[in-house]
Amino acid sequence: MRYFTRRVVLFLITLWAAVTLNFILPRLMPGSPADAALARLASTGQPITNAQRDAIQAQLGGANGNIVGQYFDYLGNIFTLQWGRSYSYATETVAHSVGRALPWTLILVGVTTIVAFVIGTLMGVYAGWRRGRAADATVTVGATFLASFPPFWLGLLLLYLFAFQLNWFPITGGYSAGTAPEWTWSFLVNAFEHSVLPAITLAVTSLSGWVFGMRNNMINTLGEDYVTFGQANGLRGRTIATLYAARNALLPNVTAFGLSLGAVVGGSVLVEGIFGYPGIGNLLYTAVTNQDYPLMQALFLVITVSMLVAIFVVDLLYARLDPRVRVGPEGS
Amino acid sequence: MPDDLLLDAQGVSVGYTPERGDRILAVREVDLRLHQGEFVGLVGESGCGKSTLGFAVTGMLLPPAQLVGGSIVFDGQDIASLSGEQLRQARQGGFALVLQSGMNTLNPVRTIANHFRDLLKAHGSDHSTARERGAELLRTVHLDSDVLDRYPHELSGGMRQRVSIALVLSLEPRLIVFDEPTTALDVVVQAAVMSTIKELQRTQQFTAVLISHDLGTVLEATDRVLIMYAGQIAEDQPAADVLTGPHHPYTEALLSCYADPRADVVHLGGIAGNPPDLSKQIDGCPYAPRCPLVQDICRRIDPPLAPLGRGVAACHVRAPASKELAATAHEVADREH
Repeated sequence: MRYFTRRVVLFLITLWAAVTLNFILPRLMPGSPADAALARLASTGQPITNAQRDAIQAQLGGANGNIVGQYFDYLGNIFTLQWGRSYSYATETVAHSVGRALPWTLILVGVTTIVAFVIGTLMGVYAGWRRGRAADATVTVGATFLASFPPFWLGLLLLYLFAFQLNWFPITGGYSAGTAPEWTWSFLVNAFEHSVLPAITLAVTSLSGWVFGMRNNMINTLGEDYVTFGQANGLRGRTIATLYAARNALLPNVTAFGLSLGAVVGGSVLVEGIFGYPGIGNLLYTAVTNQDYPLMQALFLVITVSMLVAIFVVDLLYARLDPRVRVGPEGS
Repeated sequence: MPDDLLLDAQGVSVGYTPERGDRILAVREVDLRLHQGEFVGLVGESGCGKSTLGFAVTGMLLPPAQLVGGSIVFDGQDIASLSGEQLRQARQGGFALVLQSGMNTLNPVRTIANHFRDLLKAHGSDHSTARERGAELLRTVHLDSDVLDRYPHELSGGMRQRVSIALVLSLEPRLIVFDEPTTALDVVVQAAVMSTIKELQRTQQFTAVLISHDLGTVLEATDRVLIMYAGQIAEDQPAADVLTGPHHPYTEALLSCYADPRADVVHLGGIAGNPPDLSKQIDGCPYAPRCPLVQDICRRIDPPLAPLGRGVAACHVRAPASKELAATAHEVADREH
């Protein structure tokens, strides 16, 4: 329990630091992001109300008010999801844009990250257990081959082959134009068809990292005395491979897995871009090219917070997986 | 073959094949006979092949080490000819190995009770009673049964080594090889663990091999001592005779390395020169380059084990194997006096 409390406190402190940095950074930028934002908003032709001006200045830093007051306004806006108006999508608030893109990315990148981790880890366990044999060579060479594919290139290749030439899959988007997201069978099938190629691209290019990591960890743990001792005591090969070697080899990979889960929310700018996928990666690209500060700031915040939450969850999970971390420095 | 012969290893050679370079012959044509209930010490400096021999007779040679010659017959069965699964099953009621530094011999993510459960399961025993069986075995190594619910990192080094001994005992082995079981422990704990090992060996009557570089510990615990040098047995004597009587010059040099052979602190390294390169062919006696009694014949012919005192030794000078060799040796003896 002490471990849990310590983690929670640490999480809250880091969260506060991240949110505060997100407040400070735009104010350190040359020029005034707030003025630029106001100018851009004005160019969309809508009238700018005083309330809007105040909100933008509270968010990005403006001439008025003292910095402490601005900071507390900003904190209040963050927690009430009042993230301002984007001018890339003038008809909706930033919170709406983010909320619209988030599920697409969570499902596409989240599922592929988990699938790549599970398959890659299993392949790594197998290759490590059969180190030096034909099976190891096959997995290692295969993974090296896949690792050498840049994601954008593999994406383009798949698009050209399976969407453009063979016409098996749609070319772009998260769902067909003319349909709207809804919970119907036909829409889900449609969305699934759109997700196949980007999912393959993401899974294939991230697989090798898990394979190599797990294989190397396996080879290290297989050299440990407890594996030798288990063999000397006549444990079954399967028990040694799983409960003794792989179970311990998994620990460092879990940390890496947590970090990539945290990165899921950031989406994949390149792959989402190529496939015109309506996720966070694409939204971030749009925000950057449009100098859409409110949107950018909100996205950075969401990405940072997700990363922190992922690390927090992994810390808790790690305590379940490794009895040694449950004991703090002051523990028995 | 006497009835009580448990292990009969003949001409055992073990080679390590590195990825580059020549094969290293760590054990060279060693004969090792162990009788039921015997406690044998295996002593020598680092790299003399004592651990490798211990691993070989328990079927634990792992690549790059491999048996390159000889046979290892345990209770009438050649363990070198067993398949992986046969070898695994032969460990129940067969031969076991307690490793150096009990520190890392336990799986850090499993409780001690789970270690017992894994073992009983692997050998088809009823593992539903693993806790009771574990508690009982822990008692024999003087540990409390609440150790069952602990993880290895919650135990001290001495406790961990006791747990690994208890685990090994669950196999009811007839031969246990202890490979430097107390080397990683401090001297007080060392003495306590050693006395438990001695007590277990006496009460349970298994055959034991104690591998150590600490001659003092070995002399206290064992019935018979084998001195190894450069992958060969240099001398084989009853433990009671090691401190007295004539010996292989290497044994004498080892003895002189201890201020007091019963001291807990070991000072090796009092022998000038280095052991030979085991990746090369060795002509003559491997100890010849370091031996104060060296003769011409020592550099030409590798001495076989021949009677010396109540045991045997491989030395042309001290234990001449034939009349012709004896003549040479006598000359030496005359010159010595």
